Amino acid sequence: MRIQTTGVYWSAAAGHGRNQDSLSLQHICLRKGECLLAAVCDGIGSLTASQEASGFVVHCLTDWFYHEGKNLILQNSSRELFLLALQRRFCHIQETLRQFQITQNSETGTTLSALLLIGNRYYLIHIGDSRIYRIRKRKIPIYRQKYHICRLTEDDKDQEGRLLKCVGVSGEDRATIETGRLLPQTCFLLCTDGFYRGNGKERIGQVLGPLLEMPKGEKRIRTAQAATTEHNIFDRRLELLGEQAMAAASKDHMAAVGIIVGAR
Amino acid sequence: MDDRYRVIRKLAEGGSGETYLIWDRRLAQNWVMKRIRTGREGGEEAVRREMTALQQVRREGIPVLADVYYERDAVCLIMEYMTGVSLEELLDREGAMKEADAIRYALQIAELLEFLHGLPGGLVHGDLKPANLLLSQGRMALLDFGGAVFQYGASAAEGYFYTPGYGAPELEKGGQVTVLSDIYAFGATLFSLVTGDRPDSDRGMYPVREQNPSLSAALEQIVLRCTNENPRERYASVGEVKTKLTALLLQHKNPGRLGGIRKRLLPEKEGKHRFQTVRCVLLTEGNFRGKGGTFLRCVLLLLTGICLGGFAAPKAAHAAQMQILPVSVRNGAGEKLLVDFDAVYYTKENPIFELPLHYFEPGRQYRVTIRQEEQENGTVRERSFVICAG
Repeated sequence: MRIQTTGVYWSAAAGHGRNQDSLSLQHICLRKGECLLAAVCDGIGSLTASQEASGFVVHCLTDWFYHEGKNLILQNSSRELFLLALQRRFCHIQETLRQFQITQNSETGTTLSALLLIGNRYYLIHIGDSRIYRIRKRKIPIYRQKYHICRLTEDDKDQEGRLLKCVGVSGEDRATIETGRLLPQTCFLLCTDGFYRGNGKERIGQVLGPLLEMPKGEKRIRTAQAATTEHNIFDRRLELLGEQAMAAASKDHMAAVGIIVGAR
Repeated sequence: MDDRYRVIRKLAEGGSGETYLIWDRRLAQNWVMKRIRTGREGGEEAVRREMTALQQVRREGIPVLADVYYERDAVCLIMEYMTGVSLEELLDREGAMKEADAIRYALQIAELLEFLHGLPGGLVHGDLKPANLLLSQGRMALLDFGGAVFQYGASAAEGYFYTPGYGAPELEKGGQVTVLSDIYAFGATLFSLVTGDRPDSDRGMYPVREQNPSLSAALEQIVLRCTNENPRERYASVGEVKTKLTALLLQHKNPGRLGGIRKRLLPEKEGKHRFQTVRCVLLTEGNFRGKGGTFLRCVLLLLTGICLGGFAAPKAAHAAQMQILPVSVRNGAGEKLLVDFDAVYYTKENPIFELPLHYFEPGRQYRVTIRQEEQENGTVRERSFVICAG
């Protein structure tokens, strides 16, 4: 697996001083190959200290990635061990936030969607209404739909749109932790609710899908300069989507992380 | 001269003269002979400058001036022979260096410059560039003092020369040669080390991360500040640059912050755990040092207190029947700790208790209780969790 390019978008809603969303993108090269952690958290605005909660969660996951996660990768650990380690870290986060609420005598909470790419597998950890999308090119293009976009996560909401589960206030001990095979030429998008609500699934596919097009039949020379340009293009595409979302739903904060997995 | 020295081979040839490797018959050792033609414009000035500079400098990493011979149209300076490879050759051969290596070399160069600038009168090298830096067994040496001047009074009008790309922009306009011109050249050299590229005097200095995105923002800032077109905007002294570089090198050894994330999280170790960061971003407005940070410390203290008090082994109740089950206990790093019934843990890290899944039958509910007794006063605390086995 080779990560071709990544992009991030992070913006506070107009008129709101502090962005309650947090994101983390950690892409490193180990001797075992590339690995990446991406996470977005949407702090629940109606509760107190939600930016602290979302910040703490991404920070905690990043901490896990560089300490335990990296060592698990180097030790060629099995997928069960990864799932267990992620669950353990989630419990740690949940317990810490619970204690925080007790000591502060307040309620706080955040959603969490995180993606871990290692070797030829992806691991996702999800709770709340942030989303992870996967975009692939259709083998047989349907009219006007050249790219296939699917949602890897389910929103933990009831029929009236109320959030049922989150990190923090709901006290859930379990998050959705899944693993799957990583296919080449795939784009992942992790985003908070404001981002996807203002764009819609199809528009996201239309804007990000073309990034999957790779020059065929010619050797691709990967230089640092080219990598920067690619990052810039991806960042710009996410910015376009973000601006669109901001125009549609200006009250929401936005955070999005995109990753394109290239050919092997 | 022929009685004492024998020319072995020509080492280099430049606009002002040639350099030869020579053998000293009397002392039975090699020297370098730099033959500078005095006939050309500024030749005598260059010889005078180099002699004056080398006479006053005695330091490891700077060649010793051993002897001087005058010919009809040239002056020969006999200098210490230093073996090694110039940074220019090294960059041509191996390309850009890793950030940490470049900083280490830059620190050595900065030390040499600091020594020169600290001499009475403030000696400015004046022609710092990779070609004039020799790397010998990991140590850096500074060569070619043909452009060296004492800070006071010298200007371009007096025959001062500079290398395009490495020479400060004010020298082109006939400005004074100062310590700041050396700082510019130092920045340009650092630029070459991390990008493998030669600074383009027409384009000006551009951010190094355009060339190599894996470099840290701090290093980019150092290069940009050193090579600022306005001398007043540059670092005031090499010592200041050295302090910045030392701090950056320490971050590489004991990571603290990189690219917006807390580098404390990146424990880069030598050998098998080494990793290269491609892109690291952490964007949040959550203040960990605020409420979260305070809270974490509280939890740590609380847990430390509990641990010092001693943990009784957790007990799991299976329905109405009380069972005592063995558990795995790990420390914060995930290492397994030795566990026994009524075990006492003297640890400052958060212990993690693991109950294997096979203890639990699907479809049943379990209450797991952790009971803690303080040994000193016998206070008992309990915490229960309800587990619904799926």
